[in-house]
Amino acid sequence: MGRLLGDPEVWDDSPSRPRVLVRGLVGLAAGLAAGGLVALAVVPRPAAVPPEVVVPSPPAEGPRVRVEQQTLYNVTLSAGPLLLTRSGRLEQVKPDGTDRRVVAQNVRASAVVGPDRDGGLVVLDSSVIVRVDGDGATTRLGPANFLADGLAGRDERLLACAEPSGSRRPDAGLLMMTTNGRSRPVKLGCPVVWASDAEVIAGAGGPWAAVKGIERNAAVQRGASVMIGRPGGRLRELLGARELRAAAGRRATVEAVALTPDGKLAAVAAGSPGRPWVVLVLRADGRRLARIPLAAGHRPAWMGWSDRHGTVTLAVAAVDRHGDLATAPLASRRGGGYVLAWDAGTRTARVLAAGASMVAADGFAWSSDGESVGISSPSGLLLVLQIDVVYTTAAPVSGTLVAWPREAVP
Amino acid sequence: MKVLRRRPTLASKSASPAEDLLAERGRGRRRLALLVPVVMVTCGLVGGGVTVGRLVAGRRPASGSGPVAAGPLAGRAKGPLEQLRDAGVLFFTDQQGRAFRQTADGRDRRSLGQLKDLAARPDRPFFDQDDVAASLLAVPADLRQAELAPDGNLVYLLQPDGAAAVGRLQDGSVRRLVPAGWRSPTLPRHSADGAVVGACGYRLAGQAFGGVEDARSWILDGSGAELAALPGCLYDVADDGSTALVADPAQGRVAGPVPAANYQRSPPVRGSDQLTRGLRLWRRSGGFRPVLSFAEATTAFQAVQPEVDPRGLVVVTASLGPDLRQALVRIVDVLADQDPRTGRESEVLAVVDLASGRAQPIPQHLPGLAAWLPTGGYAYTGGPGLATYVARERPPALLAATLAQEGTYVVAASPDGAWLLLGGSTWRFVRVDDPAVQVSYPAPGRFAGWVAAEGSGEPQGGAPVDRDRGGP
Repeated sequence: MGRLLGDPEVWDDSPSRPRVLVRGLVGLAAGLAAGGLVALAVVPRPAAVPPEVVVPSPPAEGPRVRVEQQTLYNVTLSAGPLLLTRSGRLEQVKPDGTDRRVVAQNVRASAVVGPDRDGGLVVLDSSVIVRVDGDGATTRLGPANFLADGLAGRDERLLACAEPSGSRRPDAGLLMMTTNGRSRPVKLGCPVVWASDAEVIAGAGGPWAAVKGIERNAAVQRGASVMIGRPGGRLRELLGARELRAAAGRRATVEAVALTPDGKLAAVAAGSPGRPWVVLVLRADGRRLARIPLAAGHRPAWMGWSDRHGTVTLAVAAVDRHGDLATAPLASRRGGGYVLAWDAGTRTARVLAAGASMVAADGFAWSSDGESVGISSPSGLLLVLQIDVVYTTAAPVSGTLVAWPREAVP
Repeated sequence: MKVLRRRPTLASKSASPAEDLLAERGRGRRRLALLVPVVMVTCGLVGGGVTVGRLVAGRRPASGSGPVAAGPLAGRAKGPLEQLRDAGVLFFTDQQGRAFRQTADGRDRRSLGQLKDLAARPDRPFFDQDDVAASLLAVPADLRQAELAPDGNLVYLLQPDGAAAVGRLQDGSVRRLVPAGWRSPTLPRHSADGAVVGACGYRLAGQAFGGVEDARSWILDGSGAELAALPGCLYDVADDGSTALVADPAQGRVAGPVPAANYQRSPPVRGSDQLTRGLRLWRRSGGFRPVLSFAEATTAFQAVQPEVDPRGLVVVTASLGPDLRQALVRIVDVLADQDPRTGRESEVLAVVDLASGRAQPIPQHLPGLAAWLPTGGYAYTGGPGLATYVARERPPALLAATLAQEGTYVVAASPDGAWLLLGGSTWRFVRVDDPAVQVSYPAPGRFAGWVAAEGSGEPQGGAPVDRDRGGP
């Protein structure tokens, strides 16, 4: 702004009045700021609180069969190691879960014979017969075009039944040596069996029929008679088709065969889908000892004899095959079942396992001492020790039970 | 005109006394102007430092604590007790014969009354020969000593002399359902509303080692009038009272009398032609319908004992399913003179289709308790302390594996069928659709019933109670 000419300059020399309140407020603000900054820099921070990670609570497990330590100990003490398949491996483990080791890699065994004196095993792996040496090396046995559907054996000899396909006859079985794979034909079809302590073999014989309702979308060849004899010798008819159908129904065929260790008794499971199944117990001379009817809608999944100090017992695993369960694979079968033990001496029976333990049960075996039965399923392994009382325990072992041999694989 | 203010100088301070006076008058204010900021800065430093320091240091969070279970079962219950909140009301009795009710989650316990007939009887002999003979005729589905009706007043029980009876807790009255001199092997059976009550009675031949000489059943309606008196034992009455499951004398004639049984561990029992060989349905509207033949019972039993002697097979338990299409039946081989734990199978449970008469065995070692669920599934116990549940069209599921340790004597379903109680020294509640969910607490008494919460505790009438009247 300009100044008019002639205006005098006027100076006010009186001292200004100090503004106490303003200065105080400014000082207070400055103090607060400075104090805060100092405190921010000086005051120690508390220890960092550990991060609180919210983990979803684990799903509560449903009830399971308990591990009874005493029973498990007794079974482990007297029985040999279990052979199980798990994740494409063949494993050997004691019933209490100890001494686990892999016997063979990349093997999906459905049947095992051995171990023999050299520690070698023969396994049925996806229709191929394979010898597994002690060092894990594998060798295919038998003719290159032979596909097996069943395998039995003793010492260094094998009995294999053929998977019928194309021109291959259902009774085109083979007897072969595990050492060199040499084979010779035997007129036996699946199922085949070899007495564990005797030179007796048995298997299904004709007439053959295509049976529907056992496998999904396919008919399977089943025989209507049972042949028995010595390995390499002439086979004779143990149970004829007429007798079998008289005892088990008009369309009955043979589903399973089992021989006692001494080969003196045989068990034949027979029937037809949709009809009751039965197990016939026969002497080696063909005389019928007993007829064991299975619960309606139940089909045998496994049979086996044990000999415990002269007490011969037959175990039959019967599984629920009602409706859609009829053709379901064992491991995916959502149905129950039971294992019946029939004592040939007293001709009485008792149930070893039943109910939830049999849901999806896919592996069964007698222990070599004849006292225990093992049952594997996706929920674990169940061991049933049957001496005077039936003792049941879960085992800390997983996998599909294939065999329970006397000796461990070295 | 603009006035400019000039700053005072030292020279001007001492210019004149008047000016000194002026200067002296402002000195205090200037000092104050110096002092106040200093004090305020100091206060600010302290205040700011403390405030910010506290903020920085912060306070540690309090230690976390989960919800604390409260109520009468606090500290004694295991599992999600709160899930039982709407599971209904449980009845139970104690040693003195008092009856109580409480909700399934343990709340609202109330005494309902007392009947001396409900009390434990220490004078009762440990071994009663009558029990052996009666066990060949009928065996209760579970071992409860009494059953209370939903109204919490009516109670079904056995009197000290073994007669089936109905009592009222409110007035203490008790009425026999079988004539004097007759005993009953099981508690009375009844419809859901108590309007139809049935009882089985028997008499032994002679005093010692006698077999069942006569077995009869009586069915009464709500007014106490006799609806039927039937030969053979009654096993169950439908919830709606329209039918009852009773022995079929025709099958008894087919099978013939049960021969005398000699037992190693108990006195022998004479043979009888009164034991149950087959079943039929009695219809309130009139007539009978056969549902289980002796041949079918034999076939079912052969699944667990292929070479059983059919002469010894009898039906001892039968309970109707909720839809009246099936029945759970227990068949026993009375000639099996062996300890069932070490010997052969001597019992089998079977599901009988009432329309076709077909019996589907439930193979199980040492079958124990069995019960239907309102949803149509069933549960049973057996083997190594296992309880199994079978829903319609579903595989069997394991409910519990602890029955042996807990002395389980009853399996009972909740009114809505969502829970199953395994009752023993511990009451274990299992959610049937997810057996992983379990709640357990010490048993408050002897189980006597489980009803829906609605209407419980309110008298609803029901079966006739008349202490002065004699037997039917």
